Amino acid sequence: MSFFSIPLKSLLRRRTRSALTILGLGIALAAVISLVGISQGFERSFVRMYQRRGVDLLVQRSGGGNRKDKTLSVKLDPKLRAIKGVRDVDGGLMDMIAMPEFDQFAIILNGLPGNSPELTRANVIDGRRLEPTDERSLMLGKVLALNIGAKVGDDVKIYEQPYKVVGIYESPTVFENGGAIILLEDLQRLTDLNGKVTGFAVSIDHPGNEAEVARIAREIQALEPHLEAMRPDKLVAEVQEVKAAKATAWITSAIALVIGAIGMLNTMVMSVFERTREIGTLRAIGWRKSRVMRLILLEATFLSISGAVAGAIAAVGITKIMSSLPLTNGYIGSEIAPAVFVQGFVIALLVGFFGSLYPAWWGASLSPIEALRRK
Amino acid sequence: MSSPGTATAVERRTQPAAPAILRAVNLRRTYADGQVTALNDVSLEVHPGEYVAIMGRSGSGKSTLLNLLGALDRPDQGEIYFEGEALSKQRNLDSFRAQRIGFVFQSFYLLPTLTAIENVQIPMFEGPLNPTQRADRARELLKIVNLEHRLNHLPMELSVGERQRVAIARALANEPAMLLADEPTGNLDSTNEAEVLDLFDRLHRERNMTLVVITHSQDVADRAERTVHLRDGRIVADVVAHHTPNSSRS
Repeated sequence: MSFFSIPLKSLLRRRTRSALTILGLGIALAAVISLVGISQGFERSFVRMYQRRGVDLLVQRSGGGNRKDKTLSVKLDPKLRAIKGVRDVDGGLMDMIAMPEFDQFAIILNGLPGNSPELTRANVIDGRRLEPTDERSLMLGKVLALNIGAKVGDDVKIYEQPYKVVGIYESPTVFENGGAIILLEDLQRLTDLNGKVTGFAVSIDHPGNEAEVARIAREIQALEPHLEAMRPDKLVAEVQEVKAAKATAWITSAIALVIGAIGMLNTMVMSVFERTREIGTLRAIGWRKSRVMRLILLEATFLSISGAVAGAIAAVGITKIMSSLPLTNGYIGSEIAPAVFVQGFVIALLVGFFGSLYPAWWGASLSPIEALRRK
Repeated sequence: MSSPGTATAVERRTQPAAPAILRAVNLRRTYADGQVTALNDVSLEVHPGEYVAIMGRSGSGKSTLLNLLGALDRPDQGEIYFEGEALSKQRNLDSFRAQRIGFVFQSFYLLPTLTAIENVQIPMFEGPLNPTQRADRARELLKIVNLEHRLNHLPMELSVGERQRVAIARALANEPAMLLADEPTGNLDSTNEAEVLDLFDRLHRERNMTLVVITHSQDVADRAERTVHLRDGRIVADVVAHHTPNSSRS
């Protein structure tokens, strides 16, 4: 018999309690893994979108915050192109629209110039690409088209204006699949932002040369005092919505974890109290305190690992479901980064360790006589 | 009337020639901040291979004495020497208990989730044996207590007598120098009591095991070579039986 089999058998003996603890911890871990996974996926999806477009620097108005007009003038375009080392500049306007009649509340609407390389690169699976002459037309992402039941040739209302669907595209990024593209001028008109863009995507000749990238970023920022040029991953991490999503995920996870930890503490306290005599026996026959502690901590570790596995499986299920629901599939992907699972397992082990530390210490510190006397 | 513990009240036994395995000197143990004296000035020697019963009524100090002799507790005053070494000087009493003392309890205290063979292995985790050696030794010990056919049974699947025999096998796990038994037959019927006492006799006779048995039963004490009587925390008699353990029964 190995030492490991002792706590394992103890857990199997109290099947219901063990199962409930695993369930509690599993739910907490599922919340952590899915929420953090979704929020990180949110961020990663944005970054991937820019990487796919070959964007090396994103230029936008600095400061963020609650400034109402965060746009920039399209007149910056030639100035950006004039900087040495800049290969291409693509200005675009981004808006978030809703189609409540289809339960769609966060659709990213991209306004792109008719000659945007992004339009050329779009993987059209039905219909055709937007042309520079396509006024009051749009392309729908595959998921959005599915969610609102729109086909090529249909009219889709944006800000109460009818827009004809000319094509449906597919993208590896969830936001694009759940979004739509119209011509920049159309979106500027719809939003009363004539001559404005949200930002510029800048491609440079030598993106691998960090010194070169930094120089170009400095030169861009020197053009106007309110300009900010950053690598897409850094900029996305600074986006208020991304920050808010991550913070919400961690706060919710923390609450779930506290509940999970209390569940673990409760189980281990009950388990130790119930087995006071057993622990007294072990101490009487010569088991060291450290061995008794190890026994209890190992029991908690088994519970934690089981909870983590259950939580990971549940998290995969939750994100799969959420990424398939029309309400959320436009901005929630089903992918969870492996690092998030690792984080979940580490957290589960920490919850198990700290949740069982007191009962383990209490049990191990009992004098054998006192423990054996207890009923 | 002579006071308990004085020379006139105690019938001294003849000292065997071998040095004492256990020597308790002037033990005193009080509880409730000294308000209750459980043991007072108790001195006792146990020699290798002796079979000693400690008798007394409830509250006489029997269990307190057993706890002190088994290094489960420390005296307020006095000293216990085991194989010549003072327990107060022992740095690790856990290790001492694991290696030198075998405990048998009235309520067996087997781990309910483990089978007989697994329960017997529990003390061996504090020893040098690997898992295979532990299992082999547990099998061997269960054979000694005639339970080789019950190796893989859980305690709840065993009779109370069998449970106590598993507990005795567990007490022998690390080849202790002495067995300390606290009312080992207290929860047994007469048939099972006889089985357990026969087992003690056998261990004593065949393995020269030193046995100290706490009991309030005269039948149990009659099996011992020597009976120490406690009253109000003092030894009032220390009597050597006029029979060998086995000659008393036929």
